[in-house]
Amino acid sequence: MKKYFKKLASLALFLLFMLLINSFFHFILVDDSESFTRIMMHEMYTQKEDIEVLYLGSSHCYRSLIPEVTDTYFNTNTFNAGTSLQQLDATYAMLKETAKSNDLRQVYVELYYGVNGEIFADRTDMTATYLISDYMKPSFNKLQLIINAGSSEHYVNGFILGRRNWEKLFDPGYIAQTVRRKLSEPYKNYDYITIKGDTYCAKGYMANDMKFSGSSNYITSSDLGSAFYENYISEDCRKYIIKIIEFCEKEDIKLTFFTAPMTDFSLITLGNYDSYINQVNTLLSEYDVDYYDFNLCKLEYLDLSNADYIDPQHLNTTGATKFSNVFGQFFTGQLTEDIFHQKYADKLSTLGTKILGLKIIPIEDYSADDLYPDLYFDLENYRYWELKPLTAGSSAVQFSVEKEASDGTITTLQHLDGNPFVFVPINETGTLHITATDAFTGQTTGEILFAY
Amino acid sequence: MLFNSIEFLIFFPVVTLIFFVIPRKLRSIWLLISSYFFYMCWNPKYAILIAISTLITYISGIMLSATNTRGGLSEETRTSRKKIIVGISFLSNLGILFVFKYANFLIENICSALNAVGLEIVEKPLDLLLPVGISFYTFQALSYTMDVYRGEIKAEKNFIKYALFVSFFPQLVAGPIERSTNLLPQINEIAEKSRFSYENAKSGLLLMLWGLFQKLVIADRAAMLVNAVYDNFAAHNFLSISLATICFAFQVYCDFDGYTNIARGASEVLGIKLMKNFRQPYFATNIQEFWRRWHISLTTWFTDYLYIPLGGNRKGLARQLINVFIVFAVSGLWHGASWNYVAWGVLHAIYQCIGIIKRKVLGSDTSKTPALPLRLVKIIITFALTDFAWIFFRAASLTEAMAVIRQMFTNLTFTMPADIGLNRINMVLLLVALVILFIVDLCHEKNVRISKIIFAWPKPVRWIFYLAFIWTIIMFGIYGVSYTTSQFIYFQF
Repeated sequence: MKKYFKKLASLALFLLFMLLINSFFHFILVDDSESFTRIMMHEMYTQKEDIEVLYLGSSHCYRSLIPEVTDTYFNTNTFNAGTSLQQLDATYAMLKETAKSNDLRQVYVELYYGVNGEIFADRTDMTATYLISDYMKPSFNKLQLIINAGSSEHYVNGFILGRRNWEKLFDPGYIAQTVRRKLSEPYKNYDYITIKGDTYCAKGYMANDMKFSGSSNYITSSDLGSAFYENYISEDCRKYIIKIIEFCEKEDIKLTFFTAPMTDFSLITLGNYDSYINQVNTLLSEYDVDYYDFNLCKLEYLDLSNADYIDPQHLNTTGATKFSNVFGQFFTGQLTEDIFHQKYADKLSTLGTKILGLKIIPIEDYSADDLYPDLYFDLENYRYWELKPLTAGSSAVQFSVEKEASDGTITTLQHLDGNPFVFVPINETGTLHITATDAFTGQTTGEILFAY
Repeated sequence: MLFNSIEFLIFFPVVTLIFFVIPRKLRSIWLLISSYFFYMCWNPKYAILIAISTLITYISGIMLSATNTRGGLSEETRTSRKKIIVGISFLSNLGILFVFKYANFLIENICSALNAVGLEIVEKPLDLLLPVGISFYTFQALSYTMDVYRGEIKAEKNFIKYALFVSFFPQLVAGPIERSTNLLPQINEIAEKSRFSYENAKSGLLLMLWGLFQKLVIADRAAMLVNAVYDNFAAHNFLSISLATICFAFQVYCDFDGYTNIARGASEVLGIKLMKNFRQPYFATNIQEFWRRWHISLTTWFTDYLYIPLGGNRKGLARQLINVFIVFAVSGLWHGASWNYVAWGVLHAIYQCIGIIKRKVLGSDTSKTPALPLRLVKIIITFALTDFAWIFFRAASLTEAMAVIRQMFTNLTFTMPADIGLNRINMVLLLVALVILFIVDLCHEKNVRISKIIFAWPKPVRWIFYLAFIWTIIMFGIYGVSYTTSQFIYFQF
């Protein structure tokens, strides 16, 4: 018997050494000194005051809701536990993790369309999962998250973090830098950081003051298509939405789903955004759970322009401040559901002839004669595009076009001209600077850059 | 369930733990259930085929035994009845193997031949999935039938034990093809003698680790280079194709030997000793010796159950050469239903025949070991010959094999293309791993038992070695995300 206990103790000691070596490789090979999630998770675990209101979701969440603003409305400790690319299984894990040591009263889950269509078995990149699992305390919840997130070929990287960067073992410079950073006081103290314009602010919010110029607000097809097919919400996502609902019911937590605002250009190019809203509403109404899409918010309550965004999908500090105020006012009863349109199509109709972006449609050999029988295109020597404004309604539009060749020379092709056709020599490369202006209102898209 | 998968990492300890905890009388049943579970993880329907093969050969064994002991029969009648029983066993098992493995190959070739003479035939292949390991367990079951026929072993009356012999999970899907005289007695002893041995566990686990090193660090790393070149051979030259073919020699060796070592290690933990299937094959000084060192269980199977019954070398030189051709052509076909495998087998047959004729003409001096320089030259020549043959084994078809060879010898440039599938770090790691392989094989060649040396070290040193070895596999193994857990090559047979 004594011999068996001795052997068992040896085995336990051996396993301990394995864990220590695992930690060692993690320390020297994984440089997470620029990880915002690391700081957020630490804050989440070490909040002095109970978190009573929790926000969960992807970057659409952590860039949109400022806890310092919403604290004043909810009059309690609100916390933003959004993380990059957070999918619903990770949302569920974060919810359970936060609920372990906080008396959650309300949870708001951001549900933009990018988190709802995923089929988990198709996952090839586990970064979004690791962002959270790497900083979760050891628990059954963490184990479940890693195991359920993908197939078994991902398990090793989920538990042996150093393995992800094994090639760095041959990069002494990288190892030295990583160790230096991890031994520094700012790292050990979880100081807030700023990386490339993104600043971590208290309680999970990430600020960025960049203003989106709208330079990429174009598509190259003539039809918008329909991004949201029937049964867009995948079975995996459906399953986790239900798990979140059931968990909140069991823990007596009020649950609300919402979608943070995105630019109208990004929504209109999806073709049938109302179909997405309907599918979400249909699912959540089965469980009597509320859903509010702030893209339906009337302009008089929330009027956001490109200047309120970093890019087509993420609010900057100014936009997040506006949104957080409306969010706080609405969910504390200061505003009613009258602030919302019924459908996105209704909201679009209030935009009038506002030009949101451009269609830059290449003119092809096979279509030129059919579509433009009265026009001549020298397709052997030139490339042609037709410019069409993307608006909620029709508009008289003038185009100003400058051509920047690859050697830097700029040529004005037209200025405030209704001519929609642009052409360049066939072998030339460069960038077109295109501005569309409403002939009546003077509203412009801002300069759109199209590389050719 | 692959040996290099998380699933096996959970399966094996659970099976082993329960094996040693339950009463001895139940251990064979437990192993049988585990073996079938292991096999059915590929496809539950596979279990039906192995069960049929098991039943047929079990009944054949019983009937052979009954015929042996039955009174009132003349020797002639007894022998002819036994031959009929063996014939039925072979025909039915090989029939199953033929249908699943070779039927479509036959259909394809018949259609091609008919189309070539102007008869327009639409090829309709059978919709059958090749069961993993069918070639291995079929041969193992048939060897049992022959062994009972020859009186080398008594027929196994206990169906559970016999079924376990056929389906024992460590060697089920890629060998070694065990002989009943080795494995069945050990299975019979489980109920009486099976007990946990710390020594067996230590050496078994060490052998499994070595197998994983061979598979994950060497074979799958070499595969990256081999695949990058062979999948796009038209863009490569003599140097890169040669390098890829050399790497393939080590890929197939480490893949197969790695699997066998994991199988042997797992069995050893359970207290069962399986045969060695490889004996440092690339140290062979001639092709005949190569085949005494490579896939030993298959070579001995073909020798005992095909070559010798055909007459072996007892019926003159011409007949011997024909027998060699038949055995190697069949061996090639055993590896795959494709002409490139047959070509690989025939090429080895040609090598063997040349060797036989050379020994007949020049005589063979086996009295002394050649001096080292001469031995090295012979090793290199033998390696070059086997490596050239590997082109046929690796190529997807005979046509592709010929195209690869043509590309090699019409592009006699010696500049390495930029992308050969491995970056500098992986290339260095592969080289270092091959050096380690060479050292280990050299020790085995000199009968130096590495495990004995390791186990004699002081405990702290041993532990450092184990931890370093395990972490080498974890960190440098080719598996998981961005590499798919790759199947062992020989699973396709």
